Amino acid sequence: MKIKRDFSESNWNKTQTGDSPYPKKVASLLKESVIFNFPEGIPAFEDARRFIILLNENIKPFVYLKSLDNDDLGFVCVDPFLVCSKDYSIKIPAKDLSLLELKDSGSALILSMVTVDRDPKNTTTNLLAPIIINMDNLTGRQVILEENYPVRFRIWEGLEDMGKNKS
Amino acid sequence: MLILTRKSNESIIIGNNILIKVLKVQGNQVHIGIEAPRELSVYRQEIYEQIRKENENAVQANISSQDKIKQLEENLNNLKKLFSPPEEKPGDK
Repeated sequence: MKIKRDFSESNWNKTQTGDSPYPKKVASLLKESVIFNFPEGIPAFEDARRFIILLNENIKPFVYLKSLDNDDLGFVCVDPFLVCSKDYSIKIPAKDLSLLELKDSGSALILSMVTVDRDPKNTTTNLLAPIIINMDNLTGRQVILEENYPVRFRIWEGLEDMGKNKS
Repeated sequence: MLILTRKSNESIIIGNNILIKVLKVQGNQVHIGIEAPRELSVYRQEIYEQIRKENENAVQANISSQDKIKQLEENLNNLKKLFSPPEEKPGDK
């Protein structure tokens, strides 16, 4: 299954939850009360099986993915299509599709983990291993793609690139 | 570590449901075929390690503490400031 979303028309840093660019099903379940199950945890944190997504107005379009099993575990995430150029697309390997029981690409929430640095130019996101959540069964996993995408992609460079493409 | 010698087209069975087959040996490259139950993930080790390491780097501990949230907001807002939409760029009239 190949997923590509075009957010080029939406203003990335003013994305409103109200006029969300996400598919309807994804947007309707993007609430703090929804618990997502990660049956295998995520690499390096295999015991963290339940997560919630915290939506904080002040950091939009970034969100927190917070573990319910470990108080000290949380990640800043962003939809990769909001911050990188048109060349990026996600081809979910068959094995991951079957583990997620994902049948409809419109049910997929895609989040890339962000490594925040004090120097904003060094804040990166992981394009090689996005987190995919199937909103139909609230199951998620970190999917390692087979393409050669960077693990540390500078968000700033991606945004600059998108800005250039626009004009 | 258990060491076994295999030729092209010879296999190894692990447990009763994992099969690893040497398909082709070419110089210093070996093509390996793997048959394993679908719930087992198979990755190239260096890529898996890279993902683990980056996940550790990305952790935001104690996200519930107010100071931490403030710091995070500031860092992300600095990033947002680097990029203003084209119509708002100074001098872009």
